[in-house]
Amino acid sequence: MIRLFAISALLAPALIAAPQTPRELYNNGLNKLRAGDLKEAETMLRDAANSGQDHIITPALYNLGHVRFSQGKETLKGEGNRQQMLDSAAAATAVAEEVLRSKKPIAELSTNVQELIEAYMEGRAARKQLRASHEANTRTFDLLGTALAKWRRSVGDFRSACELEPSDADAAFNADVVERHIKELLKFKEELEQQAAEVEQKRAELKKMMGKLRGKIPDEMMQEGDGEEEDEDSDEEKGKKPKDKPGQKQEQRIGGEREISPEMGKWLKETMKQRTMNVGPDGQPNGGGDSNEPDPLGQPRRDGRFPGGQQQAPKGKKGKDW
Amino acid sequence: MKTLFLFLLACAAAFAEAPDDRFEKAKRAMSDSDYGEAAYQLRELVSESNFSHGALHNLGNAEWKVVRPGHAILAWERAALINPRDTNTAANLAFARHKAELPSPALSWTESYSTWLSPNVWLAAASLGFWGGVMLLTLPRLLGARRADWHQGIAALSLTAFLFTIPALFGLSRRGNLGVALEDATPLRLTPTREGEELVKLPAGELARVEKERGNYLYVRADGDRAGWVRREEFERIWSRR
Amino acid sequence: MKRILFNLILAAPLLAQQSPVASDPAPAPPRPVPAPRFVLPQQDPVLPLALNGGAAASFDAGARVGRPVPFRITVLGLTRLLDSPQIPEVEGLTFQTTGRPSMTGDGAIVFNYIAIPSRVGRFVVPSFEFPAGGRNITIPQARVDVADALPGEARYQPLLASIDMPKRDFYVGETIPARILFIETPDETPTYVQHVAKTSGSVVFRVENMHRSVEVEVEGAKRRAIAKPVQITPLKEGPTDVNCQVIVHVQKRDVGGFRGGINMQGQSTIDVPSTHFNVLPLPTTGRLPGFTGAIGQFALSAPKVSGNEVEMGEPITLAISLTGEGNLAGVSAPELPDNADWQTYKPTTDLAAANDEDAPLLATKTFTYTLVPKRAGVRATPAIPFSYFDPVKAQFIDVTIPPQPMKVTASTVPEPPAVATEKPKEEEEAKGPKRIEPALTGLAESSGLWTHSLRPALWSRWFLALQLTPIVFLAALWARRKSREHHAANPQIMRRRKARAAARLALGEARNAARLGDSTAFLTASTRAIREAAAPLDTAQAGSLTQEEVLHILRDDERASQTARAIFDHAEAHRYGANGAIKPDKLMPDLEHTLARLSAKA
Repeated sequence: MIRLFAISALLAPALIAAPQTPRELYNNGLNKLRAGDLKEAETMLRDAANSGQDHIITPALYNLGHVRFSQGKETLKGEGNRQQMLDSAAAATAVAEEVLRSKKPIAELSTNVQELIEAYMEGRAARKQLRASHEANTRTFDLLGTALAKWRRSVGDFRSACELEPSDADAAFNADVVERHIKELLKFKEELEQQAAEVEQKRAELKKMMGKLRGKIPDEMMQEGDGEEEDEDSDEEKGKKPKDKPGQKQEQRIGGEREISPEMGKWLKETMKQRTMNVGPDGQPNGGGDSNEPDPLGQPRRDGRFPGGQQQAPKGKKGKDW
Repeated sequence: MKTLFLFLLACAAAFAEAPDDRFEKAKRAMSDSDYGEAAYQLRELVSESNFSHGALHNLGNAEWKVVRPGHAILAWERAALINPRDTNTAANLAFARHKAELPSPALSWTESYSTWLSPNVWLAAASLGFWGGVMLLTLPRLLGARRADWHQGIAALSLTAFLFTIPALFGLSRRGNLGVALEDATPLRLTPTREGEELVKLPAGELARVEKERGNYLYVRADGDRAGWVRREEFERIWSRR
Repeated sequence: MKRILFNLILAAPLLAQQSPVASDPAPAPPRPVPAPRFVLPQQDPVLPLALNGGAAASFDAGARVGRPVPFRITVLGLTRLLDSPQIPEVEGLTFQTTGRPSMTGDGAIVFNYIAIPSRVGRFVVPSFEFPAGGRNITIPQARVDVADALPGEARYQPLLASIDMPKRDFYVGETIPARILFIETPDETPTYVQHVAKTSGSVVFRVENMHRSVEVEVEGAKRRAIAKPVQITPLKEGPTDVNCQVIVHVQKRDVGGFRGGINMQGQSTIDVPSTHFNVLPLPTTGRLPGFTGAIGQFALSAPKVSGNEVEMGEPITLAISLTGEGNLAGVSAPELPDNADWQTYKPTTDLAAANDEDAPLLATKTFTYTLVPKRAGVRATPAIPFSYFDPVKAQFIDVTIPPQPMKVTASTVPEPPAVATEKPKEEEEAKGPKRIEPALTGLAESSGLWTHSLRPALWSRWFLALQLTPIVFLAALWARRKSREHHAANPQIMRRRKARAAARLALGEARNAARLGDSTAFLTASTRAIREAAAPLDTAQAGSLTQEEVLHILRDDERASQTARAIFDHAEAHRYGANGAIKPDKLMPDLEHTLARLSAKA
């Protein structure tokens, strides 16, 4: 009995470590795809496609296309409402524009310290908005980049399957569907890029204006940390200042949140609300693409078209099993 | 019509430049630092299936000068195939690999052994060794003569020489799969397709082994177990069995 | 007595100053040769304290042509020693400073010179001013009468100096062991070399601190000399002249006209004459790997390794020593070739001179490499290419440092952080020895043999066909041998084959004869054909077969039997002259039938 146990113990790792055949890889990959384990599915199907066995490469590629399309979709789940994002960026830009319009002459000409400090506080609040928008844009760009890479790879996989098996009409159809998704995503990305460029421009202008204001405010009116305020906006510099203790210094700075006048806060809120409401086509905030988009894998094509034309999903995965 | 075609063919043959003329022309161009012209002349030679050690060595130099390291290494590898004993060609290969930071090709011992002599010398040695031994063992009997001691001695030597050539022939056979990535960042793809996923990229001049072929694609494996499909125009064997 | 006389000698010129100076030198009065030998101490003379203007200048008496005569300037009232005053130029007199100025006990400073007159006559050193201590001291005029040399007396011979170096061509960068020789003369003996300066020529001139007395041969006579070792390193190729200026202390003998009398210790500045030699460039051909500029004759010691069994990552040192004569000081360590198995660091060097007087360049330079194995299983240290140039043999000599056996085991300690290993590497890259980069070689001059395929012949059809040739050849030989053996075992086969051939031949002749209507020839050929065809069926030879024997063989075929009989009969008749009616063309079919029948039986 002991001997049997010992032999089993010795053989078990060997059996576990035994390399999978291309067929097993394919089947396991397909099971993982069905179970929603996209990462494992991708690894296994990729290995199956790399096996060099012609009868496995094509179906593995086809399903790999599905895996990567799904991965792109999963990635985009984190992006939030697209229209809301565009509106927020537009609102922040509008606030900044208003501040620049009204406070720039003060920064250029005024010597009234109180006026200068008020202008500085408004500029700072506008910049906070812009920064939030900038961060949201950056995050969204990252998500879009990742999703686009996955979808482009998905198109490549479907096209490759089609190239290897020209009679595989499903692969060609799916490639077209994913390409349409990519096109749509690129369109949104382009809009976001324009908005981001505006945000960046306003940030730069505000920075310049606040620099001038800081120069005019007497030193004794400035508190510790005010000189570093501009640097705080820079992501790079943020990372380089681990010694900063935001909790301590933030409270001491001119323009800290608790020092914004109630009037200013009210004005900002009103302006932002107004701008956001103006962006929507019918006065209602627009939703993102997610809410209207069917799940391509969840609803495989039956008649070749989804209602809504553009929002078609790729055809269902190939469930061939050996 | 046929006569006219033959006439034109004869004319073309008459006007075609002799390999030595092209070689000299390329050499002069190299001396004048006109590397583009030298590379062109030598490429033409090779495209006309005219190979010689000197031409391939100089082609490597010219290609290197016109910044085509992959083609340069291919030419030098071919020159080394024809004349493995040429230290200049070996030095150029070492130079190119040093400059391009390429790994030295990992050859098995039979492959390394096969590089001691040129392939045809190995073949000649194997043929002479085998048939010499066989002849010396069988001819006296077939001719009705007595088999002398020296017959057996020389036959043993010949067959021993033949045995020594067997690993080299094996290595030579394996070296037939070796090829060179011609362009920089040659992609190795997951599948033999236009839009196949790029797994890794090979630098120009890196050696890899061809394991499979499919259509316009070769499945190659480079140092460090980097494998994938590569387009034929991006990769060329040093020599092919076909 | 001596003292009085000396005072008189000194006083004479001083007294003479009071008389007007003659513009022309007066003829030298004859002087008696002093009988006693005057040996004066090397010290300042006793001077009267009351000097003209606080300074005095005077020559010793007894000046002769070509012989040095002491000249002194004495200054009163100076509290410290000063540089010797520059004497105004006087035609015919050459002045040399002798030693440093000295202070006398009574507060005077004496500057000593010697003057060497070149001709007979009176020489006057004019009065001149000498700046000292913030004031100008006027040095009064001095006068000396120079007489002719004594009979047999040679002119003054200053010290000889020359640069002595091996007589051969040298190479750029080579360190030449040379020496500056200061050879004594009857008048001057070198005592000490103070300074070597103002070297010229495209060379690096390195002077050793020490010097030593040697004996050299000059014009067949052995003379004592001082040798100052120098090392000369040529910088440029081509003909080169090298010289220098040396300040040397000498003892001047017989100064002051008293032969064997006054000896003075003096300091001479000597312009050493130029020495000419040829400098060659290092050969460009035959240069070996690992040449780092070593020129000379060297021997490489066996490498010393700090340990032969190390763990991966554990540093070892590899020390090698280069011993010999040459430019060891400027030799850098040979580079370590790139090696995937070893991490290398900048080697350290240590130069130890042998201090051998006979071999001034003999030294040992030790290069110590620090190596760290990068992986387990490494079996040897890397070979380090190294070579030097032997100027005597005029060729590069390979002294490559061979690999040393090494056993590298796996590391038992965790790997150090990456930073720790990278820093020395960076330092090594920044300061390490210059590596010899691989270089693109030149063009192939000749194309070599042309071929139309790179594919080895192994995969060519013609090669495979060629391999069939010996197979076919051997098969043919085997078949031939087997056939022979078969025929030897079955002789009737050959007999039958021959009979058939002979019968066919005879049948052909019979056909010809029938066509021509030649009955005799027809019958002869026919009988021969029948006999040849029947021969294999009988034991007898074809020619000896009788008609009966043939008919017996053909007994079972009436037609053949009759044909044979008829032919034999007609042939018999023809043989005995009977010319029976016979139509060969009619008999041909029967004859062919008969022969076919006989062939079938055989």
